[in-house]
Amino acid sequence: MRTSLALLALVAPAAALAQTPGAVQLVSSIKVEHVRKGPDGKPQRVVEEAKKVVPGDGLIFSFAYRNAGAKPATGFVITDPLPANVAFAGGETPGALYSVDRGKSWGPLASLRVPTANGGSRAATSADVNGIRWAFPAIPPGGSGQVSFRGLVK
Amino acid sequence: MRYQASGAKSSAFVKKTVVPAIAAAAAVSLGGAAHASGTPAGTAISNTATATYDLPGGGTGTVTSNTVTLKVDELIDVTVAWKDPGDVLGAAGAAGQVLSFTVTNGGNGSGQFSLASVAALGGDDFDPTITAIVLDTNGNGVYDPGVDTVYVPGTNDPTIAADGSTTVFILSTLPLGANDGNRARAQLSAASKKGTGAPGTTFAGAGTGGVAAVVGLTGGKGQADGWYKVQKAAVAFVKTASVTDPFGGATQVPGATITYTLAATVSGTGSLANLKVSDAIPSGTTYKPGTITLDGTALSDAADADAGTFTGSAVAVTLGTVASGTTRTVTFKVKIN
Repeated sequence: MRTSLALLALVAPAAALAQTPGAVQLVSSIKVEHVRKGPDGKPQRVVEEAKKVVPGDGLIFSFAYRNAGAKPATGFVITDPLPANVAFAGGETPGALYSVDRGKSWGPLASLRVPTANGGSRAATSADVNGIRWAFPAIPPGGSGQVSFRGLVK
Repeated sequence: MRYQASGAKSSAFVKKTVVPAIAAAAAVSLGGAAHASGTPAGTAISNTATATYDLPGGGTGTVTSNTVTLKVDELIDVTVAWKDPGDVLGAAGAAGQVLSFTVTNGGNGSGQFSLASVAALGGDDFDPTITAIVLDTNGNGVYDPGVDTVYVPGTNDPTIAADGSTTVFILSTLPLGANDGNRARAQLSAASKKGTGAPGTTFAGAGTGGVAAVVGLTGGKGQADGWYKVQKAAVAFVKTASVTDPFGGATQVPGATITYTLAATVSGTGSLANLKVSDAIPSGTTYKPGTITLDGTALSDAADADAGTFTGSAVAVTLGTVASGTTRTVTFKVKIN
């Protein structure tokens, strides 16, 4: 009997293990990089709260997630549409997928194409990115982490 | 089973993180003024991320992050460029010689700029006398006397839109003493009235819509030199005479004809305007009517449309503007009384 119980548990549908609403938290933040003169007189990059932002500034978009529930959060996907006036500038946490059509389709950047005026298409570049996402098979209970990417104020 | 309330203070788990791949993006994040105008000052940049995950019994749970909103501050940048294709050529002593400049607002907000000029600069042959800075009021890029407005600092400082530009002229008089080929420069500078200073200097509330104004890589001011080059032309007259006597010889006897040749040669560079040749008929001789020629072409004696005139005592030919390196030749004949 014990054996069969264990078997039952193993074959239980995945949904039963899934996380319930409200148990996952996501906090976004934006920091800005400024260039300042360091103590040695040489310019150095400083990452700080985005109190002052001008075109050309580098931004760091970060998303902290946490599974506050008692079950794994499976099929976990964080998606960020790049704000208008921000250009994707790389520096992203590995494993990201990209969209160049405002979230309709996703894939590695090398697999994406952008339609051209003459009806054809061309390979997408980082300048075409207007969405970024990270997919995780599961976040364990109590698990947390952070993903980030860089943007440039247009 | 109840899950922990999601009201756990969100900031509590935002770690003070070291962002990965910080070096990889260094090259792109230091662009600064490279962006022509960029996002307009005062624009809000808002970002909200979402996360999805599987729900028990199928379906998808969605969690939306807080929204972070940044307001884009105003970047102050200005550049000045000399736009004449090359040295502006002018005669020594000439007034109203025009240098053209483009003043460009490289920032992301509309702003006023104060202008200034300097003539006393080293590295040239003379100093022009700057008589006015003129704004291209009608926006056609060309100086129009009487139409374009003379700049008065603090009174009509030009307002230039983000990424816009305007044409500004410097008018100068070139000194009489300048020699042919001498070059001189005059400088136009423009400075943002919102503030200037080391890049990064911030003026709180000075930007469009009350955002901060931040000095960009140009320091909020720009300048450019334009060049003048003096063209000085000089004229030399050479007069020669040849005699033909009635007997087929060249003896100066009564009745013999003297052909006078006046060659006016303009040297130097540029041209001479309103050049006129006149020569009195020598006493003891009589002008032979209808004998004036200019470069081999016959001219009439009457004061009419053509360039030649016999005044009764002298021959005059109006040459107009003669370019340097050119010789104009006038001939006429007289008879020895």
